[in-house]
Amino acid sequence: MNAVEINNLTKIYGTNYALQGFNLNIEAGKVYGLIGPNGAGKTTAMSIMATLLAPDGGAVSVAGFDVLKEPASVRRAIGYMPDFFGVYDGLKATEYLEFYAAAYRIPAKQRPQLTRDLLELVNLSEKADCYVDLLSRGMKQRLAMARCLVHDPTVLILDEPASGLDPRARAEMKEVVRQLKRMNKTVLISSHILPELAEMCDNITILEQGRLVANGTVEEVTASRQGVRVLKVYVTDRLPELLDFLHEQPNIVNVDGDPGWARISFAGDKAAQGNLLRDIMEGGWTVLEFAEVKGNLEDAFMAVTGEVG
Amino acid sequence: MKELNPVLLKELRQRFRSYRSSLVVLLYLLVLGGFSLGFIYLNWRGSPGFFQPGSSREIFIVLSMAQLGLLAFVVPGLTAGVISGERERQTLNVLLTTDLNPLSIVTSKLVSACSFTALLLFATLPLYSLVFMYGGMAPGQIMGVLGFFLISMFLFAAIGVACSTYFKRTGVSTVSTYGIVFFIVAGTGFLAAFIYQLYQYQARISMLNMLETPMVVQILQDVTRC
Ligand SMILES: Nc1ncnc2c1ncn2[C@@H]1O[C@H](COP(=O)(O)OP(=O)(O)OP(=O)(O)O)[C@@H](O)[C@H]1O
Ligand SMILES: [Mg+2]
Repeated sequence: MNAVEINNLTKIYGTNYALQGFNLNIEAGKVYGLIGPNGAGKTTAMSIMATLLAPDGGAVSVAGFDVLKEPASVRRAIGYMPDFFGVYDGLKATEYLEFYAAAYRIPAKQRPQLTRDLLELVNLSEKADCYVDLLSRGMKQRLAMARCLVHDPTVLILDEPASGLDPRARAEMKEVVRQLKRMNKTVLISSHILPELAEMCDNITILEQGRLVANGTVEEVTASRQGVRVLKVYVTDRLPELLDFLHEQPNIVNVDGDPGWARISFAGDKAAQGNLLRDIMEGGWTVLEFAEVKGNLEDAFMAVTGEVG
Repeated sequence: MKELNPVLLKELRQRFRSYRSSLVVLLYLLVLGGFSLGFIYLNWRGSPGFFQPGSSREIFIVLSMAQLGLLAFVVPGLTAGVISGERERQTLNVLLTTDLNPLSIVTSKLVSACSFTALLLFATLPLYSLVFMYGGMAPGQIMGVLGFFLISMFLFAAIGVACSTYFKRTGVSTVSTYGIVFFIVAGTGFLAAFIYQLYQYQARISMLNMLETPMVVQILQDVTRC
């Protein structure tokens, strides 16, 4: 089942397309990472899903409800955390959460317990009686995360929830997201901190200039770089000669090296890879290690987003 | 008992909890009280050694005018930022994704602002004892004026909230609210005076000409001609 279905979504600001025929289906119970360069349209797409912005074309449904036709049902189904948000002055953390609980019409009797549980979840229990405007930015962010969960939504839309967090808080955020996954929630999360996103997401979606340019599991996305793979060769000696030798071989896109090892961008298939290894060994080099390097999300991001525009 | 709207509850909590609110009440009373006492003092200095009870009517009018002026000054300031302020503080988006509909958000803001200004108004009631001290005014009249203030206050507050919804920036909204409220308070006064002048002029003309044309039509004709 799909928790979110985005079909041919378009949003235009003046003559600038913020989103242009964007398609994405988000499977229920999965964690989706949305990445893309600044201005790619991530925030725009998320605002549309949160019913805050009307699309100029296409259709979006969240939890089975159309964002234009049944916005109230969509709102009840989602927890939305904007990229920038403020908090109210003069409210304590518990009051802040209780306010939103009331705004979601949660019975007054359940609120104190709910508030305690949520503060516990985001590790802010000791700040329960602090005024929210006096909390640090990271704490506000965690509080906002708790706020998203007040009405037990099934779909979470988190726009850069980890920006401004210290490493420990980021790790905690990651833990919270994992917990949400265990609670069987669907999470869409945008971020510029790619290694972390790769760790917590089941699926990565790359958006550029309002278009989807890559979508799939972390492995799929990182592997799909125009068929180019990175190989590393460790040899005992004669590295400069090896580099010269490699330059003359077929299927080699690029070669560079550091003392002791060479790094090859290789366009051939597995068989060609085997042939290359054989040729190197026949050339008289003692090969200590010859392996494919798993590309990381950052490389994939660079490769994929460079193509458009 | 049905629970208060959460936005209203939160607004009331924030408003009545802050020191600023007490300060506003204090200043309001100081200004209005100072104004009235100053007026009595001047009156007393100008008269032969004692204050004339006959002028309690005058005090009443001055007090009420001052009150209206203060309301026109305070209410836009309290209301012109209620929605645009949320937008600027970046809390509006989140509020709009909750289960509250926009109407209840707006009315809650309006009611909260009104309840605070109502507090201001009732806090000034003791000042009216100055009027009673000398007699000459019926309690009914004071009640009438109070009702008038409540209605004006509601109007000003509604204008402020409307502007703050319409304009994205609090600054623009504040200026527009003051503009509109100033027009309502002073502008309509000028307009009335103007029309009254025209009317008098018209009366003189028609006395001379003995025209049968209805006066209002005549006034309109005069206005369009000039
Ligand atoms: N209110 C607006 N008016 C005009 N243009 C806008 C508006 N909001 C966004 N845009 C444009 O839409 C495009 C997408 O913006 P968006 O905020 O969705 O990007 P983003 O992917 O969230 O970027 P970032 O990584 O910087 O957060 C940008 O080109 C931006 O200039
Ligand atoms: Mg953004």
